Parts: sequence; structure tokens; C-alpha cells
Amino acid sequence: MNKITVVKDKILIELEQSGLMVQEHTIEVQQDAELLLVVTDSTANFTFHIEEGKKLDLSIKSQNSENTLYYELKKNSILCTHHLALDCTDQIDARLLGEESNLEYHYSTMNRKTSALHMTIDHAKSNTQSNVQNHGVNLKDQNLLFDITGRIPKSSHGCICNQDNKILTMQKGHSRIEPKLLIENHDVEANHAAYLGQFKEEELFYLMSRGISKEKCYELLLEGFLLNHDPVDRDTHDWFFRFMIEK
Amino acid sequence: MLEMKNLKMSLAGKRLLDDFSLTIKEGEVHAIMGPNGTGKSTLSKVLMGHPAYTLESGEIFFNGESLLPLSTDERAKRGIFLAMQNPMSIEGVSNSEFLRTALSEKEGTHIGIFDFLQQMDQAIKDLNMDEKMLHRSINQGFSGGERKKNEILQMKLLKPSLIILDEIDSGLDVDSLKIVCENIQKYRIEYPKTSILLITHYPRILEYIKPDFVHMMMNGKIEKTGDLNFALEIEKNGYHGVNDMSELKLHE
Ligand SMILES: Nc1ncnc2c1ncn2[C@@H]1O[C@H](COP(=O)(O)OP(=O)(O)OP(=O)(O)O)[C@@H](O)[C@H]1O
Ligand SMILES: [Mg+2]
Repeated sequence: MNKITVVKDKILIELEQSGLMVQEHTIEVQQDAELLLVVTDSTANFTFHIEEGKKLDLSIKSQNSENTLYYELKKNSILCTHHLALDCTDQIDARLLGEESNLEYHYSTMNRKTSALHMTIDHAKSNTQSNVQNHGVNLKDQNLLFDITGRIPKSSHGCICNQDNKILTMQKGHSRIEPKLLIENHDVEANHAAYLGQFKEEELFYLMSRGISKEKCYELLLEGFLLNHDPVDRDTHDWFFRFMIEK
Repeated sequence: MLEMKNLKMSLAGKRLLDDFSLTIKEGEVHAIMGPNGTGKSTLSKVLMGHPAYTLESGEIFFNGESLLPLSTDERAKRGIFLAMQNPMSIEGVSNSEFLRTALSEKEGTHIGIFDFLQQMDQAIKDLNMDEKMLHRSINQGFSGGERKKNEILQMKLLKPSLIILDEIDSGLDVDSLKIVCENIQKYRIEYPKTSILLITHYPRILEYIKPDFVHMMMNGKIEKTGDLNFALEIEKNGYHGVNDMSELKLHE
């Protein structure tokens, strides 16, 4: 597995594949590739160039960090990202610079500290697609902000731009979703769903009525909400959900 | 096995249980019939300990133990199972994850995927369900009938000693109703001490699952009790037709 690890601002690069070039903070994807990016206690800054017709499967695990991630997608390229964040403030900009490029981004976060996701998806070319799912769980009494912008200029036709933004507030924290769709071309399909709330009492009752304890029900519901059938390995799963029960 | 004594509760200003009492003994089948909105589902939720349905007064004992201090999951662990009138769908949580967790909690040990699938396999076949449902979110995109079958699947897995069936027959086609009832009957033969509280509007299900008692619930309590013939009479004459008291009230 190709892996980039950043711990306390120190970068370690382990590449097993030739199609991935890393220079400074720029990653060139010249062949289909998988990459794991792990960022802990750092301020990280990366730019990804996905070349024409290529696909990058990116997994990000990030804790207690501030990340600025910039993605450029060339013609016909695909970026598929599962991004797990704990107590992070992230700035994510994706630019669909080539026709028919395709972005699938699942961002799942939990926070005890004040955290934010600022995300911009720019459909610079026609027939580009983005499908973004941002799910957050604000565990304690701090703030969580999702500030999400989808942009389709007049010159881009036939684009699909989907956003699904949801935050569950478990205790007394303040959560906010600011979704923006700036659409100047009408030949597009754009949807956004935003939901702020808590678990539904009826869902909890249903699960508990099968003899599952309240804590375990929360775990199941949070897991469903945050991973929503995304496949993750055992280690990643445990790393992510351990945060929920840590003090 | 189950004793409900003088239950009282109101919701949104409406008295739903008014001195409601009923005792169900081991192995008995009790059917409750009653008009829409009388409080039948409410009663089932009270039994299961739904936090929004708390009693003003009254007592409930299950095998001699008071249920009232127990949470919903604790009641389930004591052997009470409620097949709901409208089972929830829950996005993101797969049926298999859900059922395996429920089973693990019941057995008190972690159940591996392989063991779990083996246990499920026969039950799914018995109910003529599609095993692909295991990988989908709980009840999501399930038809009304599929949801009801999923309730019985869970029952078979959890092996309760008191089964509350809240309109299990609604939404099932004739063949599915037969399959569901056969599964319940087989369960009763295997576990003869099982008691059943069956809420329904139609006597048809009672021809498969023969009740020892048929109760008519109205005005927050059981107004009348009879046998299977009483259920047929209710179907023929309606609730008011069989209840002199309410007939008087209607004429007032
Ligand atoms: N959470 C609630 N808040 C307010 N009113 C409620 C609530 N739950 C139930 N009710 C009301 O209580 C009454 C009884 O409802 P319940 O579901 O118990 O009826 P039921 O006898 O099961 O009816 P049906 O035969 O239609 O299923 C209804 O008028 C219903 O609207
Ligand atoms: Mg009902």
C-alpha cells in the first residue's frame, strides 16, 4: 500500500508503485493508484494532480490536525476519497478541470474540540460529476461547522453536483451547516440535503427492543451514520470509533 | 407470567389506559381487538418500556419481577419481544450487523460472522425471505410485508418467552400470512411455555394461532372477553354492536 504519514509535521513517504510521484507537497497520479494518507497532530498541506483517465482511491485518516487539500482532476479522471477526521479543521478544494471527471468524496468526522470543514467543489468543465457526503458527529459542547460550496459556471453543461451534509449533535455543542450551490448553468442536476439533529427516539427504541444496550445502539447508529456501508479495515474502524469513548 | 394491574396513562390529553388490567399465564394466547386509536399499540409500547409512554399509575410484573424500573433492552433480555405495527427503517445500519449485535448481546459473547450466518440461514429459508436482505440497511426499501417477516425473523433469533404481535397480519398477503403463522406455530411447539399477546383487527390470523382468550379493548380497558367466536362476532357486528355499554353511550 502506498502511504504518506505526517506526524507532528514530519512527513514519511512509502511508495510501492511507480505511477505515483511525490514532490514536496504535490502528488502526481500518473497511473491508477491507491493511497493512504495519515495525518496526526500536524498542519498538512497537499496538492493532488490526477492525470487524464486515471483514478485515485484515497483514504485519509486524520486526527487533531489542520489540513489544506487541493485536488485537480484532469479529463476523464476519477477521485474516490474516504476521509475520516477526528478533531480536525480541513480546507478542501476540488477542481474538476477536465471534462467527464468524477469526484466521489465521503467525509466523516467526530469532534470534541471546535472543528470545521470548508469545502469547495468547482465544476470548471462540462459533464463533470461530484458526489459529496459529509457526515459529522459533534460529541461534546464545542462547535462544528460544515461550509460547503458547489460551483457550476455558465460554461459547464451537463454537470451533476450532489451534496449530502448532515451533523448530529450529541450534547450541548453548536453545529452549523452552510451549504451553497452557485449554479449559473441550468442544464445540470444539483441536489443538496442538509440535516442537523439528533438520533430519532424511535430508532433507538427499535434497536433497544431487541435487547441491545443504549451504548451499543449509539455505536451501531453512529457507525451507520458515519460509515454508511463504506468498507473500512478493522484497524481503521477501531481507531475511528475508539475516539467516541475516549475521555 | 405477565400481570398488568390497574394501568393508567394519558397522551396529549387523551386517556388511553384507564385502570387496564390483564394477566397472561405461561403458554396462553391472548388476542386483543379494538377500534383504531384505542391504545392497543400504546399498551404494547408501555410493556416494552418506550420512554415516551410512561404510566401514571399501575404495576406490571413479568415472572414476578416488576418491569417498570427496567429499560427497554433489559425487558427484551428478560424474554419479551415486540413485533411492531410499523417497524422502523434505519439507514446505514445493516440487518446483519443489527441482528448479530442483538444475538451477541443476548448470548453475552461475541458471535462470529460464520456462526451467525449459519444460524440465520435456516430461519431465512423458513420465512421464504431473500438472504440478500441481510446486507441492506434495516428495513430500508422493504415492503410492508417484508418488514413484518423481518420482525418474525428477529423473534426466531432471539427466542423470547413472551411475544407481543402488534398487527403482524396487516400488510401480509395470504401466502405470507400463512408462512408467518406457521413459523409462530412451530415456535410454540418447540417452546410450549411461550405466551402470546396478539393485537389484531381480523379473526383470520386467529384461525392459525388459536387464542385462549379474545379481549375487546375500549375506553382504556378490556370491556369484554370471549373466545374465537367472540372475534367472529366482533367482525360481524362491529365493536359498538357487541358492546352494550358503548351502545348506550352512543344513544345518549
Ligand atoms: N406519541 C404520541 N403522542 C401523542 N399522541 C399519541 C402518541 N402515540 C399515540 N398517540 C395517540 O394515542 C391514541 C392511541 O394510539 P395507538 O397507536 O395506541 O392506537 P391503536 O389502538 O394501536 O390503533 P390502530 O388500531 O389504528 O393501530 C391515538 O389517538 C394516537 O394518535
Ligand atoms: Mg396500533
